[in-house]
Amino acid sequence: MLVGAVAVAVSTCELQQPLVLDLMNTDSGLLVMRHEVTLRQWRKCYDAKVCSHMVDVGPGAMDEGFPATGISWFDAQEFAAWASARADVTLRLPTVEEWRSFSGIEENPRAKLFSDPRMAWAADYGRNKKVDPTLKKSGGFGLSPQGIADVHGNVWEWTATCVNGGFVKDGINNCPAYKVQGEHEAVISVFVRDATEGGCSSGTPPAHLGLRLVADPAAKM
Amino acid sequence: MSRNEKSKNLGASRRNFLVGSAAAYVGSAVLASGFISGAQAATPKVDVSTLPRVKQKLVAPPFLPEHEQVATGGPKIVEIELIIEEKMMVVDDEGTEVWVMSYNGTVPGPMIVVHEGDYVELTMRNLQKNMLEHNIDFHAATGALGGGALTRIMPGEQVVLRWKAMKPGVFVYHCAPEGIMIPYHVVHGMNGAIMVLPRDGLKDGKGNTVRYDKAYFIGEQDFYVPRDEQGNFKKYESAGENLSEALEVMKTLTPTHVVFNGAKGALTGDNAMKAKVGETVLFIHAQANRDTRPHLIGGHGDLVWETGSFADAPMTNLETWFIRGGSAGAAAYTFVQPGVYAYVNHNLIEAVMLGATAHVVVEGPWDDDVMMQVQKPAPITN
Repeated sequence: MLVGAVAVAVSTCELQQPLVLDLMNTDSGLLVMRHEVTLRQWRKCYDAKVCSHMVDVGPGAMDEGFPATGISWFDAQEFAAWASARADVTLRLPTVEEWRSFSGIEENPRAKLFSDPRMAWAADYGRNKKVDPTLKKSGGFGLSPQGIADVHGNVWEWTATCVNGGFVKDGINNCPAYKVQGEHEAVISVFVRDATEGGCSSGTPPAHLGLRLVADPAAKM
Repeated sequence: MSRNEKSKNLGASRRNFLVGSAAAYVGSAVLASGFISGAQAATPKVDVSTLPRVKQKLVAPPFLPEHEQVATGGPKIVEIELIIEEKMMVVDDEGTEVWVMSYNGTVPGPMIVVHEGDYVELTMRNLQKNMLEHNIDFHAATGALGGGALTRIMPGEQVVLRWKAMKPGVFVYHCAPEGIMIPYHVVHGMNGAIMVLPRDGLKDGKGNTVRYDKAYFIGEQDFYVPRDEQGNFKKYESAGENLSEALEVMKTLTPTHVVFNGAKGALTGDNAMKAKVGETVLFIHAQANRDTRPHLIGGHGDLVWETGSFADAPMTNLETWFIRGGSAGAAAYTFVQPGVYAYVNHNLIEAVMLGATAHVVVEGPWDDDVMMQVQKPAPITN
C-alpha cells in the first residue's frame, strides 16, 4: 500500500543546497526514491566534487527533469555516499529482491530458447525485447502499483546484487559485475556506463544505465 | 529491411541539380582506351533465341531465390528484375537515418543465382520518384565495365541487359555511375551479389559434390554518416542531399557504421539466421567497398571459397576468412552442436561497436563429447 513521502533531513552544512530525494515508504518498510536519480541531483554531487564523472546529458537534456544515465556501478557508489552524507538515513542501491518487490516486475516469464541445462548459456537468447531508447522526463513512464515511478521505463537501475553472489574475500569486495534491473535483468561490468550489444554477447542490453537509492527505515548507520 | 522506411517525391529543380553534378564527371574513365584488340573470343556462338527462358523471383537477403544446386538441362536465359529505389532507412538502434540507394528496396540488393553458362537477362528500372542516375556493374560479367556502361538510366527510365555467366563463383554487383558518384552510391547501400554455380554443383576440391541445406547472404555495408556541431548524426530530406558532407566523412576512410544487411541488428534476435545440428549452411559474404574478415564464433569454415571462385578448391577448417573489398566469398559449415553462434566481422571493434554482428540459432541435441563444462565456476582452490 502506498504511504506518503517521507521527509529526509539534510545536513546543516551551510555550503550545501537542500537535497530532496522524495523517499517513499513501501510495503516492505523499505524507503525507496520515488524517481530515479535525476540530472539535477547528479550535477550537485558532481559540483560537490564527490561524483567524479559528469554524465553526458546530450542535446536538449539540460532541462534537468531527465534521469541521470550513463552511470557505472562505481559512479553510483559515489552518488550514494554523497547523498548519505547529507541525509539522516544511509542510502544504498537495492538488492534484486528489494527491486522486484517495489517495482512489481518479476523475472521474465517468456519461455527459454533451450531447456537443456547444458545450454543455459544460450537459453535467454531472444527472450528480451529491445525498448525505445528515447529518454523521457522523470515520471514519464508512469508508476508501479506501489507508486514508484518509471520502473517500466528505459533506464535500467543498478542493484547491490553481485552476479555470482560472492567475490568478497578478506573484507574486500571484488565483485566484477552486478545485476541491473528493468524490463529484464542484465549483468553489467562495474566499469560500464553504456551497455552495448554485439559480438558474442547475445543478450539484449539495457538501453540506459541509471540508479535509484533506497534506505532502511532504521536510524542512520 | 522493411522497417522504418519512407520515400519522398521531390521537385524537379532539386533533381536537375543532382543529375548535373553527376554528369560533370562523365568522360574520364570510359574514353581513355583507344587500343581495342581485333582478336575474337573463342567462345562458340550460341543462338540465344533457342534457349529456354526462366524467370527468377528475387527475394530479400539474407535469403536466396529458389534454385537448383546442380543444374538440370543446358544453359538457360534467367530473367531477373531490379527496381532501383532511393529510400530512407534506419541503420542503428539510435534512429540514425541514411538515404540509401537500393536495388529492390534492400541493402544489400538481392542475391541472384544462376549456373555457369546461363545467361542473365536483367530488366532494371530507375523509379520516377528517384533523384539520381544509376546503373549496375556485375563483377561476374565480362565487358562494358561489367555492364555499367550499358545500363545507365535516369529516373523514370528502364534498360535491359543480357550477359553470359562464364566464371563460376560468388561476385559482387554494384552501382558505378561516374567519378565520385561511384563510391558515394556504393557506400549508400547500392550493392549486392550473384552466385554462379558450376553446372554440376559445388565440389570439395577432391571431386566430391558439396550440397548445402540452407544458404544465407550476408551483405556487409560501411556507412559514413555526417555529424552536426553537437556530434549527432545528421538527417536529410532526400537522397543526394548529404553529398558534400558525406564525401568529407568518406575521405577519412573511417566508417560510422559497419553493419550486416543494412542495419545494426538486422540479423539478430527474431531475425537471426536459423539452422539445425547436422545441417550444412552456406554463408555468402559480400563487401563491395572494404576488406572484412568473417568469423563464426563457436564454429568454423569447413569449406571456404575465400576469393569467391568456385573453379578453385576450397580451403578447409578455417577460423577466420578474408573477404577483399569489392568481392564476395562463400563458406560452408556443418553444425555439430546446438546453441547461439555469433557470425561477426572479426575486427571486434567493428563487430561490437559499429554493428557487424549476426547470430545463428541452431537447434538440436547437445553433444558432451564435443564440449562439456566439467566443473562450474567456483572459487579457486589451492
